[in-house]
Parts: sequence; C-alpha cells; structure tokens
Amino acid sequence: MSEPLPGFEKPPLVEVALAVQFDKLPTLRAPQLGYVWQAFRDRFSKTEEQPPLEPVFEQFGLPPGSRPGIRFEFSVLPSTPRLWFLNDSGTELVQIQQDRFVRNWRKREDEDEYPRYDHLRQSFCADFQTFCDLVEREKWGRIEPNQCEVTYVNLIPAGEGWQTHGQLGNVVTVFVSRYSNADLGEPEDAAVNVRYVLKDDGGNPVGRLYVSATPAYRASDACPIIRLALTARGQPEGTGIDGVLRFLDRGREAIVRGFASITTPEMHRIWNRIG
Amino acid sequence: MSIDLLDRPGSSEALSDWQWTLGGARCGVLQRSFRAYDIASMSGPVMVPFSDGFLVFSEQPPNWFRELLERICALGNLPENWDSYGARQIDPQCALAAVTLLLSIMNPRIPPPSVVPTVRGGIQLEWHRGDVDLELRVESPSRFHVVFEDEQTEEQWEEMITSDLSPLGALLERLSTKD
Repeated sequence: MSEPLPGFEKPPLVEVALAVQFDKLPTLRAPQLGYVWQAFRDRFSKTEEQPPLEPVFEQFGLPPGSRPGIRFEFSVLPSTPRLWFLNDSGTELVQIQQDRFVRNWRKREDEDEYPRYDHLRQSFCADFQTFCDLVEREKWGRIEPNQCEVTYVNLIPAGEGWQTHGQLGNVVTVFVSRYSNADLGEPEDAAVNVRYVLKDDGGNPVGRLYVSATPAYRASDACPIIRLALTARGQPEGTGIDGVLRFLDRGREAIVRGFASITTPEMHRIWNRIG
Repeated sequence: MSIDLLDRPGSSEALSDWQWTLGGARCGVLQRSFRAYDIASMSGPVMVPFSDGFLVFSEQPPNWFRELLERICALGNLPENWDSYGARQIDPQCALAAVTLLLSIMNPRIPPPSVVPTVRGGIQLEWHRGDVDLELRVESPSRFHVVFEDEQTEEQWEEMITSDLSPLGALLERLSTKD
C-alpha cells in the first residue's frame, strides 16, 4: 500500500477509537481502577462506569461457521466495570477494564474537528504508557497485548446524497438495489455487513476489517442517518507498544482506503475528497 | 452452533454512541441470577459450572462433547496449590479458550484428548494415538503451544500458535486415521 492515503475535507466522522486488548489482570479491580484515574485526573476530570466488554480474538484456519458462542461469568464476584475517564468537553476518552485500554475521540458539537490520526495515535501512546507504567509500579501484573483495534464511526445524515434508508446504494458501493422485476419497490431500509481479511507484508492473515452500514436516527432531531462503521482488529505485529502501533497503523490505513473504496463518488464530492 | 458474543463485528460498546439510536430496544446486561441447568436438558443458553462461575453457552453443546466438557470443568474444582508445590488454580479464561477451540476444530471422528492441568493455571490437551503424539497447551485465550511427533514418519513439529489455527485441523485429521 504505497499510494498516498485518500482524504476528505468534510468527512462525516464522529468517533475514532484506538484500543489494545491484553491478557486479563485479575488484580485490577474497582479500587485499583480508581487509583489509575488519579494518573489521568488532571486532564480527564469526569468518570463514568460501563459494563465490561467481552474479549474478542481474530482467528483463522477454522471451519466456516464453527465459532461457538461461549463466555465465562462469575457467580460470586461482581464483574469489574469498565471505567471511562472524560475531559471537560467530553471529546476525549480513556477507557480501562481488566483486559483492555481504549483511547477515543468523539465529536460533541458541530464545530469539533477531528484532531487527525497522528495526534490521536500520540495521545494513545502516551496514555497507554502511563497506564503500563502504573501497572508495573504497583505490581498488578504484566501487560501482554493480544489484540489491537481501530474503529472509525461516520454518521451520514439524510439530505446529502440520499433521502431514505432504502437508498443505501447512494452512499455505499457494496449495496446495489437491483431486482429482476419491480414487484418489491424501493426498500424501506437496508443494512450491510462485510468483512475482509487483513494480511501482512508476507501475505499472512493478521486481522480483519469489518464494515457495517446501518440505518439509524439522530437523537437530537430524529433525522435519518446512516451509521457507517469500520473496525480493523488483529494481533499485535511484534512485542510491546511498538507491535501494537504497527497493527494500529495498518488498521487505520485499511480503514481509510476501505472507506474511500466502499463509498460512492457522489458522496466523495459531498465530502470534498482530496487525493 | 450459533455464533454469539465472541464474534461481534466491532467493539461497538467501546464507542460512546451517545448521539444516535437504532430506534429499537438495546440488549441489557445479562442477569446474574440464573440457575445452573443440566446441560442435557436445555436447548437455549446453557450455563455449566466452572470454578467460581459458569461457562455460558449460547446453545446446548453437542452430545459427543459432553464427556470432554465435564472433564474440563472438573479442573475448575482444583484449589490453589493443588499439587502441593504452588500450582495455580486453573484460569477460567484458559478453560473457555480450550472449550472454544475444541468445539471449533473437533468432530466425532477425532478421538477425545486427555485433559491435564498445568501448574501455571493452563490446560493441556493430549492425544496419543499409535505412533502419533499431539500436545496442545492452552496458555491463554490467544496462545496455544503445540507439539507434534509422528514416530513412523519421524516428523517433529513445535510451535506457539496465536491466531492462525489451520495447522491444528490438519494434525487432528491425521489422528482420526490412526488406530
């Protein structure tokens, strides 16, 4: 992938998350998470509790459809929550649970501008290092990354290239509303889920790119929107934070190229594509 | 078996998603007050006791897997220092990984493995069939140490597998052809 990355002057991007999953630290429970917050409190003064996320692993070489749905639940101990640390404006988040660290940017107001990947990457790197240093200093265990994840979320409002949820094909190239006859008419709505295998420079599978286009409504005014989310997930490409960053960079590139590939030229004009 | 939580396309819950709605009900947190059901009796979600909790299956495991599942779950009863030399309790995440892996790669033609606890809290699965030995040590949900030896062909193979599990299928197929 040596060609310059495509870009857009007005992308419909509303949230970006960089995440690393690691082997669970059983000693990292609610009190310890509160102590972690002290290291971030000067920049992230607000907190929220969320239920923990289930671990997810991208694996290859299994028979199709063979992945069983199983999880483990404690019957006695309450689950340790996922803590959100938020800045005053709510645009920046750090999320921590026993086996995951996530760094988010999100758009809260129309004037909030995406700070760009390099800036978010730097923030992720610095904040994850702060967390790792604290874990090591307090002897809570050893952080062994096992999966990395990049997610870009776009909210595309009606009135820009499309009017109804049935016109998904006006927005994404992977949905074509084509029929053998006119009996069905235009769809009321449509959704698409596609996944692609990501490979390293040697052609070996290292992760997957998930694309989902979902009909939804904006909470503020019930305007129809299409939620277009792209997630790249896979194993670190090497040890330590460098291995994590290598996959995050690969995932981000796949997402940016994938976004340009699966959205229509008409939408590119609306978003002012550059490159 | 249906694909459930482990195969969600993206960590949507790691996103704030505060400003939009699908227009329908969202799933709530699973209640913790379930009773442990007999795995032979239920067709819906099934909870099998392991250590301080449960392995929760989205649907009933196949009958041919039951005995193997019971042997794995029995390891959950091992206490700390079960070998009197400081061995750790079996990590539920390793049990989960072992069960998930076995359900993904095994079928009724493949002989069931021996199930052995490791002192570091993992689970080792062993097949010894004729001249073929296969040992698979589940060290974590993302690390599987595999050792294979075929005395007849003098093949030896040892590798740490993380995401590409395709070699396991081929090795197990070789076991299924041995007496």
